[in-house]
Amino acid sequence: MTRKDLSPVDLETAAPATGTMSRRRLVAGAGLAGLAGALFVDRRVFAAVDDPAQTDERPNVPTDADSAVLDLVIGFELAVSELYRRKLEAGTGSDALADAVGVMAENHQAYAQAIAGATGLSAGEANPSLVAALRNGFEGSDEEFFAAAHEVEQAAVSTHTDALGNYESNEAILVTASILIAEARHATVLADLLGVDDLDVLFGNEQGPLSLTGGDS
Amino acid sequence: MIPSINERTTRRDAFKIGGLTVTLGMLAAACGENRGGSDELGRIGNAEPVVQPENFSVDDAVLLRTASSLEYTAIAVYETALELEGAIPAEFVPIVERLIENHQMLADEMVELTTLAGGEPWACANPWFMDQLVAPTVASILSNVVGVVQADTSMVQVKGEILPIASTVTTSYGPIELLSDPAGLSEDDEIEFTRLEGAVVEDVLTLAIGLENLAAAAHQQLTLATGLLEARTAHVRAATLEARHGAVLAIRLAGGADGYVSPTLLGVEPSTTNTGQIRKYAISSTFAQTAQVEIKAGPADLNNVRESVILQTPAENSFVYNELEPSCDA
Repeated sequence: MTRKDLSPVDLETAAPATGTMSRRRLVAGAGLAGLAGALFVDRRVFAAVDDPAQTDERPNVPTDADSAVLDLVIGFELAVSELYRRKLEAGTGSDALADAVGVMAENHQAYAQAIAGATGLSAGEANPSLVAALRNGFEGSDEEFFAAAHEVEQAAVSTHTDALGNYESNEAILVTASILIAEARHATVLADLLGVDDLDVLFGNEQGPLSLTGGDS
Repeated sequence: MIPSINERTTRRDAFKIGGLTVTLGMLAAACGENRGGSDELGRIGNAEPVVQPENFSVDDAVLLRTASSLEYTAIAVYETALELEGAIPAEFVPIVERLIENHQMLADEMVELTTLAGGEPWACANPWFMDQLVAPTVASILSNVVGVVQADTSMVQVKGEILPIASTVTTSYGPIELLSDPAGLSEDDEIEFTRLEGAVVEDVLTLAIGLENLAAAAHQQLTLATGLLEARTAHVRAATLEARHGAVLAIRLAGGADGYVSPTLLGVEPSTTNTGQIRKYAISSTFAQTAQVEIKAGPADLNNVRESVILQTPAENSFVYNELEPSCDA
């Protein structure tokens, strides 16, 4: 059953793992700390309504509560797209990498546009706080970029998954599922670019959801 | 049109008369008034009575039983592949063993949720998928290349080419070894060859990628279909994990960067492999898709055409309805 109480507030992202990739995680760690504060929505908007998932009357179009979260998600997706474009402008080591980065940049923009289409919101502006928090990793060396981008994709998967459990409308669930599963594939490619062989990393996700319950936007 | 009584009735005339009689009979029946009896469509002939399929309901328990059946299907496929000599290369064995573990974990979760949904857990492979998809696909993958002996019995048509019969026949795609006895061959005899080097492994791993993508797509659909919140998040997590499975396998099968992104996303027509297999990629679309997955299975025929296998997410014919009794014999 769906909880109707307030969800616990968690401003922290997942604790950095020890061992595998720990050095790489440092690259993006600072950026993700900023990311946690940059995504802000009060989850009480979800708690204010009865759980619609238990009925057959789930609305098709996003509710106000869904749209409030999806509006932030649009800014997040556009920010990630912009970060990938900055990497492209900074240069990549190979055409193959440029192709992959270009596709990921386009994909994240498409995610923002799809959400905008579903909600009727504008897909105009990337979240500037996110871009500022993460740009160093994305504009650094290829290895720094791989680590930063991998962390962002993993955080995106966790954040979407967390939000999906609270959405009230079919459209919000549908579009979010189709986005986050694709982002998991992005993360897998980036892990391979990092040279990761550890199956726990390739198949897992140590990044927790970015906080949607507090912080400054 | 109607022949004179004195003329001989040809076979063609008989067809015409027969068809006209049936058509007029149907028209007369359709236009008749005050008809009584059944409103069902009329039938002609002595065929067996039509058996109406059961109209079982689909609820959360059915969706979860179907989900667990898919996980057990994947486990069955991987365990079978590991038992086949040379089907899984040594470097893939640890991955496949991990995939089995992961699918078992997901199956256990779906079984638990089935109980939560008030259903009877299903801890077996999906009988429809095993019968209609897995068994024939595996059989096809393990079959040999077949050639047909020509009028000149020293020649064989194989993989779209006419080539001299020898213990090793070199096709445009690589050498294949003769398995049949070359003595006493006659025109139109079928003779068998080994498959191209690496073709079985490529087929098995492509099937694995296809099944992972299929499972991910199925869970993606179930994310929306279920009314149980716990199941919604469980399905999407399962879809995510299985998408990662498919991505890792695609990258490893392609040998690295060639498996990252589908050329279609770059505006380029994708090519097949040397054996004609459809290449799979970690990122094959912008959004996660629930469309059917196509792979090739088995050797090419005489004209070098390979059989396509279409993998589709579960539907009415493959749901594990509550009325089905668990059977792990599939």
